[in-house]
Amino acid sequence: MFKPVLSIIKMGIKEGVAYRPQMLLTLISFPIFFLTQFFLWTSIFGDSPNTSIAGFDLTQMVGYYIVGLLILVFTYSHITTELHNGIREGHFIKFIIKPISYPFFSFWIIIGGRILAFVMEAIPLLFVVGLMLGFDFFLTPNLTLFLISFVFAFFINYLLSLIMGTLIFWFTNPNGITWIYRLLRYFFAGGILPLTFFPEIIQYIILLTPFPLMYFIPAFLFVGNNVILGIEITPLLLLIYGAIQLIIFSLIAYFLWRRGVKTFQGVGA
Amino acid sequence: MKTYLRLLSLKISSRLSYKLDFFTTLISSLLWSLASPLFIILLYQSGASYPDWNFNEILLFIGIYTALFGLGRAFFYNFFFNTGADVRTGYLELTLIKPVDELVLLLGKSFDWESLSEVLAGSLIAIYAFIQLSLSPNIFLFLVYIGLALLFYFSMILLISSLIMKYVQVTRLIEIVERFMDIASHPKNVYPRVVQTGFSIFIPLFIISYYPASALIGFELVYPFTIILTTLIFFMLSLYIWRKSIKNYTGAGG
Repeated sequence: MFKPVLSIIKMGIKEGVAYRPQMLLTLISFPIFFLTQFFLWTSIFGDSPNTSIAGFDLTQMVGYYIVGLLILVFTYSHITTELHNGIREGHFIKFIIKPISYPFFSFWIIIGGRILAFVMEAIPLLFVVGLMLGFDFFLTPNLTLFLISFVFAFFINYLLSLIMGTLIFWFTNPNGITWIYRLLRYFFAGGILPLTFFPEIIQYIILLTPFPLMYFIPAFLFVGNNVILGIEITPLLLLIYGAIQLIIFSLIAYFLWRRGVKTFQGVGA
Repeated sequence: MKTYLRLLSLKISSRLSYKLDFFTTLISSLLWSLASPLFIILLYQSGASYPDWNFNEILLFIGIYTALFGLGRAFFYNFFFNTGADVRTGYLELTLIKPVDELVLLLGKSFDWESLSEVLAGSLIAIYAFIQLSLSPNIFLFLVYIGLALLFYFSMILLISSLIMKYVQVTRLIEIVERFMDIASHPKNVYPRVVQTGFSIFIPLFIISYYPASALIGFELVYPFTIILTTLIFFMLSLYIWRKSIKNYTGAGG
């Protein structure tokens, strides 16, 4: 069990190495993103009579977007596109006859890719953030909570990407639906603004979806906040909240995968 | 022009062969275009604001940005991806031997009908804000800036498309353009003076939204004519680099 997993992780790293220039481009785009957020929020806070907006001070607000972007880099999963292309072009068929399942294989490939991304993208980015916001920024008071939420973010993102990938079993071209999913993820995960900017009723509704765990909750915790809607986020509460989501989406992914593979006919192989 | 229009009609026919995908993409484009207005609404509701911009002014700004962004996506965005794909598959060689300008063929093939919903959403937001503000704008200057904004967007796409011809697998170059567009999605005065000057004189990024919106609102413009000249120079330079890349192109796939 351990040996095949290690081999797949190595494959994932090798696959990532082929896209080195792509990863290096992050080193240009990330500082632009960082500086835009920094100037924008400095200007907005400078104009505001309050030192806190929606529960965030200036450093927390800039930090929220930076940590959010790093979470996206770490939890990135290309399984939806890979599966769509694999089935459209027919080379998915090789997984039907292999003694290894595609979700298992792709999971470890992603882990391999993320290990490489950590070295090539995240370490330089963390260094840039440290230089600009000060290295104290990484001394979060909610480290345990952040790590728990980050693990959930990774798994939930993987499961939802897999679920979106399975749509190709029933639709010839599910790109539009995939874009609607990405949109919901962006809106409800707190990508536009932290969820504390939304009206309370909307916050309650959004917290019932899996999206806040993928961005908002880890970033919110990292910058030192741990109370939302008057509820204190404790490790136990976070574990229960994440576990429920994980079980629900694992079951949905499992069910859709089983049904999808049965439907698959290997056209184009 | 005739070839371009013919390609556009072929494109809509091919997109409509996947009706569900076409309409879901149309809806998602429309909803995506609401992200920036939602940001503004939530920000102003929280009591915060952009310095020196009232709610309707910033709504007008963001409406113009959204409409221009949509136009850019409709006409040019896919140009980059199609060039990259054609280089990888070797199809670019076939395009180059055709008796029509390769820019016309690639642009026609790249048109994205769904993004027109963003143009619609942005225009409606801008019109609403414009009515609320009851302005007496400089329409001529506004139209000039709109045309130049599109030209600048195209120039950025041309530049990265020239690079993808050489380095093939660098599709994430588009992220650099997107990051630049993020900068342009906020008013110029949120940035330090050096950034304001740099993106007005050297790289005319603020032509994308700040200048057209300011021409409508009546804000006093700094470098109003320099930016016109810079945008034209930027375009000429991009076109020159593109033509040079095409000339030096030796094929990568096929």
